[in-house]
Amino acid sequence: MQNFHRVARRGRRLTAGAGIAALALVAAACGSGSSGGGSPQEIVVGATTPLSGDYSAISAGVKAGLAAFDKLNAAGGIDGVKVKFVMRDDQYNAANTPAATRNLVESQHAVMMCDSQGAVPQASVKQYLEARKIPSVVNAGDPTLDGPYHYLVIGNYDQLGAALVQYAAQDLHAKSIAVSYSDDDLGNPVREGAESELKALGLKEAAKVKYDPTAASMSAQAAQLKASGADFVVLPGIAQTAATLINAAQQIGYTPQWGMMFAAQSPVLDQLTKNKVDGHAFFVSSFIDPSSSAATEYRATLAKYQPKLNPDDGPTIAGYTIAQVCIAGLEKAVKDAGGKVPTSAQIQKALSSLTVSNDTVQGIDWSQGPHQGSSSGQILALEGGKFVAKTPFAPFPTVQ
Amino acid sequence: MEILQTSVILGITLGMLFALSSAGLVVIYRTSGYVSFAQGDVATAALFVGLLVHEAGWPYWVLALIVISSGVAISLVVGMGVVTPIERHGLLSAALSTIAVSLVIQGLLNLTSGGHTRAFPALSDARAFRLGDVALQWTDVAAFGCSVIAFVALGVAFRRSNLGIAMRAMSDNELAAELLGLSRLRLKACSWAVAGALAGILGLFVAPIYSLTPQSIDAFLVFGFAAIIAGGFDSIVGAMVAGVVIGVLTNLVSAYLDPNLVPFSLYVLILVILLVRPQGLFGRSIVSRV
Amino acid sequence: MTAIDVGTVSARPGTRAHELRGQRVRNAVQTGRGLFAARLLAMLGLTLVTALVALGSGPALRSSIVVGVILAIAVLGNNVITGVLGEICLSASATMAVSAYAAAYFLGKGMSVELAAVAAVALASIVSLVIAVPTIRLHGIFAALATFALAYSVPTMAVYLKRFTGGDNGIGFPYPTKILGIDVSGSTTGAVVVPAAAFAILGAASLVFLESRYGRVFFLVGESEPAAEAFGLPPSVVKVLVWTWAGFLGSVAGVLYALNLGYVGPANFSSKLGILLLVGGVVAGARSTWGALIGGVLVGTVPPQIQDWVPATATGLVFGIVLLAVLASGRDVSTWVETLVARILLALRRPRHGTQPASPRERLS
Repeated sequence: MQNFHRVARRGRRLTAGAGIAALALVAAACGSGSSGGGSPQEIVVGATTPLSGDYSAISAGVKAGLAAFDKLNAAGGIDGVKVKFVMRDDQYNAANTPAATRNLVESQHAVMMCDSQGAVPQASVKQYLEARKIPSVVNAGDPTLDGPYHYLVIGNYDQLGAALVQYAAQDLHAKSIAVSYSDDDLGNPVREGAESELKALGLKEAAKVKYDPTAASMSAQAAQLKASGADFVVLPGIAQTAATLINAAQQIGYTPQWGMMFAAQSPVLDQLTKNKVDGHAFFVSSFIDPSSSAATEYRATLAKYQPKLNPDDGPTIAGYTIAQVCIAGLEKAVKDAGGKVPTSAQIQKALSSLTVSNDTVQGIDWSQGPHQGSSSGQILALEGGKFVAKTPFAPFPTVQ
Repeated sequence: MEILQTSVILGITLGMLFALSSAGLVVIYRTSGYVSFAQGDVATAALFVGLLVHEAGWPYWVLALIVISSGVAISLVVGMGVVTPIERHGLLSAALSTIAVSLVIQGLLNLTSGGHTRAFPALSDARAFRLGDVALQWTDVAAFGCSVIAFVALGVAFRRSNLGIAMRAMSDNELAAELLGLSRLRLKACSWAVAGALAGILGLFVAPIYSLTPQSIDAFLVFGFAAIIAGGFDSIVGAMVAGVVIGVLTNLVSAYLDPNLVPFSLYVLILVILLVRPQGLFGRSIVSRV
Repeated sequence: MTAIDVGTVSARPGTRAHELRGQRVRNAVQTGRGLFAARLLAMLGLTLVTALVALGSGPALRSSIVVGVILAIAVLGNNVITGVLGEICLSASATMAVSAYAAAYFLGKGMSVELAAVAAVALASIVSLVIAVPTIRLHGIFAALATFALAYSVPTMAVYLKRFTGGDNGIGFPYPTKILGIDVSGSTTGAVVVPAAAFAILGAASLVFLESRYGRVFFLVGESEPAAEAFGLPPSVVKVLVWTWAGFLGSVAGVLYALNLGYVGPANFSSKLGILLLVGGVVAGARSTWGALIGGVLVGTVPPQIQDWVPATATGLVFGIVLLAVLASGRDVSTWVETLVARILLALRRPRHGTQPASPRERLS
């Protein structure tokens, strides 16, 4: 056995050597880490988003945000101060979001987060960002994310659900309204909002049908909805999910009118449903109609900086708009800082007194305490392959 | 009653797609002894090639041919270029390399396509006939027909043709098969090619309904796995019947219990079948070797 | 092993003793057994180095390494199944999910962190034991596909069991989390030290057991069941024990994972995690404890960190190519390293003891 002890001792020496080498590496890494970051005339803004993995499709919104910053910089930045927008991949997995966010804040010296995606991933770093006093304008619609350093732009999902029901009952004169939903932070608030509005209008819910957004088939849900006899169905979910349910319904000859979220507002939905929902699909959105004249600049920016993105997608215009709100906050902060690069504290102060109501965003008011998202929006309809505004921008109904 | 009827009828059409996805897995398993986790990604890659053809304005039948032949080509590259050479380090390494291949293909597609959701053209949107409440489209009929043809062809090929017998010999005893003068590599190439074609066909039916993303065909893989376990690795017909049974059962679970219970019910089903009938519902009984 | 103590004879090159020792090292490298002390030290050394690297890194890399070390504990368990029984388990993520959710649930009920951790590990280990009973009847591809189906069902099952799991939103709990007074959340020093210490202790326990008399019987079950039976241990008991031990390690990993993140949700436990834990383990070395650490870091640290060098959209591609390269090389990472180290050690030994020239045969080899 002695021999092995000798081997082991040598192993120990090797280990010790490796340890020293590792420490040297670490020292080098630390050195380079602290010297990085933005130049004195540059504001670093970070965002976490799924750039790889199963959810990479939804990073389109943040990429549209990047286009907004690219355009800003091309025009000279904010009074000469450029913005460096850094995206970091978290695969939409809350296990990766903390490391990605720490990297942005501590290695890349981001002074602000903007357009970071997903209620669940963002919840996992909320306390961290608060502890570091980094303001974050999130790309998520969960009202519980609201906090002293957190700001929402997307309207609360429950209000969006209520707005759909209101439109169905008052404008479309729907006789019977059913709610389909996924048991998650998108489906549940929409369902609650829709149910609250049904109650307020004195209507009965025709059916409440749960689906699994990842399911290979939704024919069972389509059959349940059909059995309810509803002529209007609230359907939260992204285009892919919505199309699966709509196609399953088509297949059994069930063709109600569908009330969806801006998340499903996409030409892909029209293509996936083989243009069969044209005229029967309605979308609630706190963002502008991408085919309106107010969106001309948005379309031009996207065509120039992110030509691969589809400007008609609801999530894309959402990501772009959120970046615009961030820019509005940064403009204010730069002014407050006397034309210099603002600190996190200055940005937070600027955001906390921000109100935005213009052609592209309406009803953002963070000056009164809570930092909730837009409380107004509009209903769009899919008509002739285009998303057309059916109502003017108006406040959403309140949800009890 | 209406819900039940619809769930059953649409469960059958769905189940035929599960069966189709299991067919490709079985073919590779029969010659190589493992399943390929990259089967869904081969289909997706072929579909993206098809999409280029579609965007160039070619008619559907050209697109279909391109997708199927791309499936064959990609599957051959994966199987013969990557996975089979790794077999010499053990079957486990080969099986795991299909997972790595899956990551590589998804990574490539993510890099080149940007990962966002796309629509994919269907064979036909025209309605074929009604079955109860269900209006079946020509696409459904074609999917059904293709599955049946694929299964009958595979069944006959495995039982009757020299190639099929060689494949069976190969899966039973590789050395003995080689001593009989059967070319191991040729058989494997053949099985990967057939699996690639089946992946392409599956993709053609799945993508128009569920859209095309680098991951969209993957969801069918787990149902394909379940179908071959339930049907038995030996029985091509078993896999088809099992696919249909799983399609109907999952629809019923979704309708009457909870849609979120579908994957777990699949696990329970697999476990129960494996414990009660380890050879699958239709498989030959397994001769254990010590 | 003690009969021929080659160390006492100064093993001159070309002598039988030297050849024997060379053979022994080679055998050890190939089989993953023997050379206990060297293995233990390698494992402890590597754990220490990993912890030091983590402590010396910036918080982003540090928290990724912490996740890597935590996953390494699950890989260690998975590796026992692969390395000892030769079976494939794709559901390590499921065990992690059970214990992580249990810990979060107990914490939410006001239990102390220590009690919640112990209760969660106990509960998840029992669940593993129950699942092991039917699972051990499956072999090869069947075990692999059944465990895959289990792993696949975790995220939707978590949504279904909303009352306990918080559904799609998951459960967050008071943060930072302290266990025995040590803060184990995020990228704190405790977050590095506690998982590293847990890995070292559990890795040492695995090593001690596998090198013991019983350990040999366990290996026999993987190689030949009837032969194992001759030693008086029913193979099914051995198998249940192995799967349960793996489940126990997965539970420990799950609890540490939950405590570190301060949050548990369905997206954390996708079937991909289960697959990657297996792949990471096999690629790094299924029969090596220090290999498990490499495997965990490969799965938990590398994917989020390679975006420093390659575009984030290409991380999956690069990771896949790395895995393929190792698989195509025919040896896992730990075998590569052990072979290299063994070669260096044997070569170093020559000039020191050997005054005679090496035999012509040896010079050729």
